[in-house]
Amino acid sequence: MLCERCRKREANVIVTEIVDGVKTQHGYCMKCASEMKLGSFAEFELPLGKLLSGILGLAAEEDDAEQDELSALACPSCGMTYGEFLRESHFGCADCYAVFGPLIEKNMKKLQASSTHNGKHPKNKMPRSAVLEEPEEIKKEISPKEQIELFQSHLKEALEEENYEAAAFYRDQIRELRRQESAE
Amino acid sequence: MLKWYEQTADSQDILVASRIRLSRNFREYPFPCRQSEEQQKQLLEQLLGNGPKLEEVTGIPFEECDLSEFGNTHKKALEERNLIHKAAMKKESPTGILVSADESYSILLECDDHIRMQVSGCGLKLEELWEKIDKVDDYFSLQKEYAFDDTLGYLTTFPNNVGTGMKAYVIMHLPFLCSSEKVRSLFLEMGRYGVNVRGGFGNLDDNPGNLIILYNQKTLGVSEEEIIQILNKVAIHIRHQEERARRYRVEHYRLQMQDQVYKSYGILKCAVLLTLEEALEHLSNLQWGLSCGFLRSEKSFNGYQLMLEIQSANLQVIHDRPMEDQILCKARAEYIQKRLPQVTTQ
Repeated sequence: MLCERCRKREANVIVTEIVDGVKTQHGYCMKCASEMKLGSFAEFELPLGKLLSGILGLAAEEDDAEQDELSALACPSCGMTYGEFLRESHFGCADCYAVFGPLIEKNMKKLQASSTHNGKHPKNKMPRSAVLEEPEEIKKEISPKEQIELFQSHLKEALEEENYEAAAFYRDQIRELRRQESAE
Repeated sequence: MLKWYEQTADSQDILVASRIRLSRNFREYPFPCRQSEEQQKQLLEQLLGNGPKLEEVTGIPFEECDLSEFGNTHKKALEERNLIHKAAMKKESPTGILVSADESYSILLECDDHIRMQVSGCGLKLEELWEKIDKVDDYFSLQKEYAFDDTLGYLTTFPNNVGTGMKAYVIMHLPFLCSSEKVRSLFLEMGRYGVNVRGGFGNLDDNPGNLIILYNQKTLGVSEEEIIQILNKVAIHIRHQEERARRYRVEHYRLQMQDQVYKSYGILKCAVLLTLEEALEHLSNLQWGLSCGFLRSEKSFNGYQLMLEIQSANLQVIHDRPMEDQILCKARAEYIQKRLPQVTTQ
């Protein structure tokens, strides 16, 4: 049977229409069905992202009541709700990751290779631990030699923890202090 | 200045081109989808002013454009040359683009993410492209703090980009694999290595031009170097498969192949009207015909360049006027004829 609409392609979507109790059947090809937005065929045009959110929110969808409650959960920074996130498949701001992240953590792992970043870090950003442990005031109060020793202990710790970014940061700091020392 | 795809010295028959794209956002602003139009305009203005600095970083002058000032055909032409993606073409709120004079760099601003930067090059050269885009990325990271998390990496609007925010692409010309039945299982197998496949023009089932694009599925948990390594390996493996398929066909179906190439050359040379699909099919045949030695040309032939340039919006921009279908087909046939190489037969 050929498609009723274009009369070119084979009809493989059969639509049953009931008007005033009278049942009629129509046959359309996939392309026409999609253009006419018939049932699930309208979803052909959905971007990949829309499908992703379905996967991401899958775990929560199992329980409707819990789902409703979660849907209202909103990001304090941009106002995006969990419901909107699931519908639109994207985050609204950097803070959304902290708000919705824990809800989709398991599924994020399914979508991605893992749940932990293993690549480049931005140039202007020091490793978090390094920034916390080394406030400006301390730097000024102690002598360069003590500073080097302090950094060396941090370096050792960082290496033991396999925190190589922090280790590289301390290594460079030590290098810089030694260079200053020898220049003086 | 020649465009990046015009600069190829050798014919890039199987491994046509590579591209790397990075998605980045700034910590202090909501992502574009949650920004007010005023915020979008403000950030766009700041970002667009980076052209001269980017020239210092890359050594190539940049043009700064506000996409909202472009008409639909012009935007579509940018999309056809892969400088912007479909979402940018359709977007109505403020969006901008910084493009290098050779079009190798394209930095889309305020679309899905605050910055979507990409760099393209001929052949398989992902490492080289990564070095280039890495510098541009470093430049932007020093302007404002990026939205970055120690665990999740670069935070992006879409969860399928989070982590490295990196997608690497290899564009391949695979006429023989595409026409073989085994190709499906080969592509499925690639999925196991985290490599996705799509058609260059159209989908995998209906893909005139026989261009196939490989790209990484995952962005989180894999480093940039790992993404590049695996794509390199897969692309080289696929090239071997294509070469094997070609050798087999040349050995067993020599006459049919020769006939196909000569006919395609004849059509490209003499046709008055050419649809895009027809043109892509025959350009693909001519490309492999030259590399299999059925035809010889003194000058190298760049089929990919022609494939990019003969698309509808691009032809209209070149001719600087809107064209109806038939006029377009005529313009396409003429455009190709002027650029066809002089060939000698075997």
